[in-house]
Amino acid sequence: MVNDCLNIINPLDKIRLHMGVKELKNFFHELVENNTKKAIKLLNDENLHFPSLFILKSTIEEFSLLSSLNSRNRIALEITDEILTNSANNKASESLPSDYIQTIHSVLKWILDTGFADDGINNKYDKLLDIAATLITKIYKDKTFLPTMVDMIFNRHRRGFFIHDLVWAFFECRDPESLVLIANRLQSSHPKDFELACKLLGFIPCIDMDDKTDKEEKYLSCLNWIEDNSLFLYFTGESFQQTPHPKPYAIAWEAKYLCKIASTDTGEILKSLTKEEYKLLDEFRKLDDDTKTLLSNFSFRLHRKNMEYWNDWIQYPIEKQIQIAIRGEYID
Amino acid sequence: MIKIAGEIIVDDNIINKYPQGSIERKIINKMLSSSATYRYDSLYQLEFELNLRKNIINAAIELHKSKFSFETFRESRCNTDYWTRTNEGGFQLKQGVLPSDAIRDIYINSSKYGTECATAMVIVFYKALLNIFPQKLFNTMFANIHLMNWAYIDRDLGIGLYRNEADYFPGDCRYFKNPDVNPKTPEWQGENVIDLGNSTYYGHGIGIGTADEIINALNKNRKARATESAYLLNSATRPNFKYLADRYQKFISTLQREDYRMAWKYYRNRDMNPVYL
Repeated sequence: MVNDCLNIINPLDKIRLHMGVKELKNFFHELVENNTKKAIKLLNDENLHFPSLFILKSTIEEFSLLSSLNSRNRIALEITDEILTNSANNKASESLPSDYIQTIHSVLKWILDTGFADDGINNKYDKLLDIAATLITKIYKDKTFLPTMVDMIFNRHRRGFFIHDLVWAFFECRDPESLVLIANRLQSSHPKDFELACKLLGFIPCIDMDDKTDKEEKYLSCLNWIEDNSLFLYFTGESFQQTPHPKPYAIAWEAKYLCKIASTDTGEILKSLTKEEYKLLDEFRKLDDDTKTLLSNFSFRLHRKNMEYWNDWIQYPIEKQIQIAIRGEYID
Repeated sequence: MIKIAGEIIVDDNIINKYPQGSIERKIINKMLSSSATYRYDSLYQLEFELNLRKNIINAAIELHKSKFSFETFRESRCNTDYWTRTNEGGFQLKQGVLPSDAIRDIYINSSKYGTECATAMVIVFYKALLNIFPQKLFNTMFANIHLMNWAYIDRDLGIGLYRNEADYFPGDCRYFKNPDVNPKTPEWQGENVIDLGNSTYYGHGIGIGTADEIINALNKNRKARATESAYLLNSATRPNFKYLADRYQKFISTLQREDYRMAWKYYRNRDMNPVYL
């Protein structure tokens, strides 16, 4: 019953989708004049999608209906004002009582979940979506919206519209696993998707725009790289605002060498280390970058393939570890 | 240390070419006293870099003094006689317009332009090169300018990010990051700046100030209850000075060869057809 209710399209959304923005405004204006109660009921309906509320904002204000709106709609319009007028209020990003934070979080999700499909209504609407997405990822640390965010980025890019803030917000979520969402676009048949995916993942060694490797091969190499390194990646903070070829994530080589999970924020190993492990790191730090890379990659592969061998290998003096890694013993 | 064609430079001849207190001297002194080695194929390459760095600083100061305003990409604007504003908010060179004229116009009709800080840095790089390169070379190398932060930057500028450098020099583009930026104003996520060589930086939207002043300006745009201050990153964004020097030198020597050929042709024709006949 509940599901049936949720699947019923709100009449306001229906008019917007089938007849356009202007017709929706006219219809609603007339409805408020003739039957205010019904107009408010339609707005407060659980099934309403955010774009309709956004479009009707000026009419709602004109007829002073704000106080009659339910809290979802009221908060959504307050957030809209806050974002579009650069207001000093920080309702959406301020630390507020936890139940209120929950409410704002759920309203932001409603804005995005019901609003993303209408991306492109106008510049202000797009800006609102960008900032709502940023708030969700940066303030509320909610990663459930990331797949939709990637859809928005790639759809907008196809249409040639502004994506920089969304891309920035996407990387700011500091979630190496989310790179898979972009990597999936390497398989897209749309050339602009492939081009953008390559650009965003340009910091991954197997991604080189000039390299004519087969798309599928590139995709698989990229997935392998993410799988091999995601536990050891940390966020560097580099963005496209800073450089044409940012490296938003880097590998924490020490963590990979010891096969310990690294902090995504700092790259430091999360678990406390034993005396022996500290000793190993002291030796490791003295190595040049190429040898560090060789040793870390070998260590990870051996650890994955045969834990018993790895336990033996890691106890050898570092010179012997290097010799074994160069020869590729145990893993071939 | 500076090495030119493999030879360590020890004499003062290079330094003495530049006046006391000049930007060029500051750069050379820093290179000479550095633990890092700065390698050049020729003296010419080094001199070109010094000249371009000085011009980057001049172009930055000139842009700061103009009426070029700060706008987000969504609100960006340009002189449509020279540029087409794209749906993304970038500026694309119009068909039939000379790149050199279009870049100059940003400085001449500056009040007609507004954009973000990264695009301002790219404009500064182009203007600095325009001050040095003959117009013909500039227009050939940068025939399709598309201004929008670093996104569509010309490959011929050779822009690269240099991380964890031993030294940073006047004319470098640096970046102040604002990790706790208010998500409502992502344009304050950081500030691209030009190092002006006197402990001050030019950042479009903030102006000219010391590192502390830039950091304070960014900190004013943080989220509520922010804990992390803005800070200067240990990196620099630079054009490929050596590549640009080589392109310039090649162009000049081609021009000189053409001049000689023309002169030779002229004199040969004159000798074969004496004017008194």
